[in-house]
Amino acid sequence: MSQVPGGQKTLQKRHARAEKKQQLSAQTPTSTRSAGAGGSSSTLLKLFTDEAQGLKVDPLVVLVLAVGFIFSVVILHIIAKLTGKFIS
Amino acid sequence: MSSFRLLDLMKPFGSIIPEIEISLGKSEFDDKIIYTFVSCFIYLLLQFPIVGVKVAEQLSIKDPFYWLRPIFGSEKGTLLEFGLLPILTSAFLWQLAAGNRLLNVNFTLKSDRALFQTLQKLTSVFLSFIYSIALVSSGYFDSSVGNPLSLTTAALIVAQITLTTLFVTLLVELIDKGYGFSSGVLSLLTIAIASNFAYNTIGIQVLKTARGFESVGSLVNLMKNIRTKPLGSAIISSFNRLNFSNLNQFYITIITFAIVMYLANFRFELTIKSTKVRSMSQSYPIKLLFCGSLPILFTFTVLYNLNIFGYAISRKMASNTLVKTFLADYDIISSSSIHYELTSGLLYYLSPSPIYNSIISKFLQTIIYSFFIITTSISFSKTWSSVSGSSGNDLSKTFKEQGISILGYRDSAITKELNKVIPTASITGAGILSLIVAFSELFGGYGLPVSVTVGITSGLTILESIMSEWQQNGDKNSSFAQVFNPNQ
Repeated sequence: MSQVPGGQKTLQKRHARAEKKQQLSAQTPTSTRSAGAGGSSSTLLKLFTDEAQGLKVDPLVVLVLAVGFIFSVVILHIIAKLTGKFIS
Repeated sequence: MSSFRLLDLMKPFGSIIPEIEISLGKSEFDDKIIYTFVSCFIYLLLQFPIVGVKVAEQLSIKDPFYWLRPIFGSEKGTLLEFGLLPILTSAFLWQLAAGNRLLNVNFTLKSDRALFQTLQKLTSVFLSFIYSIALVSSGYFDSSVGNPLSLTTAALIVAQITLTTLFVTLLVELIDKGYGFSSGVLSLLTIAIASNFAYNTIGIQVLKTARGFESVGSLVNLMKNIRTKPLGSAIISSFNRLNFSNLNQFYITIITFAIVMYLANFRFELTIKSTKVRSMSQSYPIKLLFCGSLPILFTFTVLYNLNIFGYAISRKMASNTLVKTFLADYDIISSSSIHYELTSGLLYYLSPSPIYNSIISKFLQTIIYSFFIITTSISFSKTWSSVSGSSGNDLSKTFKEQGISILGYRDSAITKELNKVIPTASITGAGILSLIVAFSELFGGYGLPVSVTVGITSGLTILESIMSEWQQNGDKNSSFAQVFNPNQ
């Protein structure tokens, strides 16, 4: 009946192997690195790898804003000292 | 899309959340050095007193997390009240969830990766918001018991801490996205740990405590004690002081440092050869510390989170004996102490708290604490080595792409061989490292030896990636050439 040498057994084996292969290929990668996009490796923890569509900011602007934030806290300190507010 | 995905919830936020643009060209080596230094410098600047707590009161905040702080670059009463904890928590949480396929995300799609990173960023800011609310509401920032903060002050404190975390996240993103070297979290962490260790050993700042004026640095304190006190009591008091780092901690830290440095060189060398060029073989090292310091970092991230919520709950329900006996109870041992110590409950057994209730509880604490540290680290390293994209399967795929095979193995056996070596290395490495950490903590390290373990392993990893980049990109127009290539 079957044309395959080895008969039904071989067919079954082939079927199982093909199924396994398909399952493997259908699996999505478990991390950004295994998808080939950089990201956390075994020793490095990375959070950000890709560019999302959003409010794009230049790195220099971020640094300046961070320093600005620290200065605003300094100014808040001075205001708190002068007015006596915000201090329990 | 028929099924609900958590990731899709991030879509509306995508356009509001600030996002650092990836540079079009590759960043120059010099630019990277400067960006890394400036971001780390800004991180250190953020250790600035928070508005809402009196500056003089800063010392009097009783600190329940003092043995966890050095590891996360956090400082009490400053903008970095939580340091890098929110970011580390969110990174570990989501990356492990995705790795274990608990989170439905397809990393092959660029859009999914973008949503995933927005999710991590939002979570870290949100976590910081939750933590600060937990601490503010539990009376952590109150200057004295029964004198709660006003609502505006409380809101101001929460806003400051949350905003700080947003900026720290952006600094991390800046380094991660290729403006700096390798990983942002680890770079900031290494700098914070290094400066903290220096501050605790040779810090010359003098602070007024109940025992008079004390120097912060343990070595400086020893020198000062020797000058002012009789020799015996001078040495004893520099070994056993509790408020600041003591000599005991210093020695344990130095010993741990040496052991970890030694361990970092252990590796299993696979001989690899090119499939195209004959008779060329090289060695490919699989390190014993395959996961570096991440297992330890993960374990203490779990502990810090448990302690924040444990503290908040135990303060909120201070009268509830059930919480006290089963969850946690924080107490001040002596009136001069600036720390809260864990005295009972589950969290006591998961801490190296020096409180001595009875010999049985102390014994149990030693066993349970070591067991917790070691098992958590090992199970993390087992998962991480297979999901992080450096597993045997991924590595053999890279080998195949680059035309490399292992000497003495067929192409099909490479994956098998790598899958045999890598989990063994990572689990053994994490086990040994966590054992050292548990010991050093139980002997009275209070976070300092752990922080140095994390600092040294991540520092070496970062250095490795800097050097490989240096070798690849050449030294044509770098003004740092002298530093990296002294022979020329």
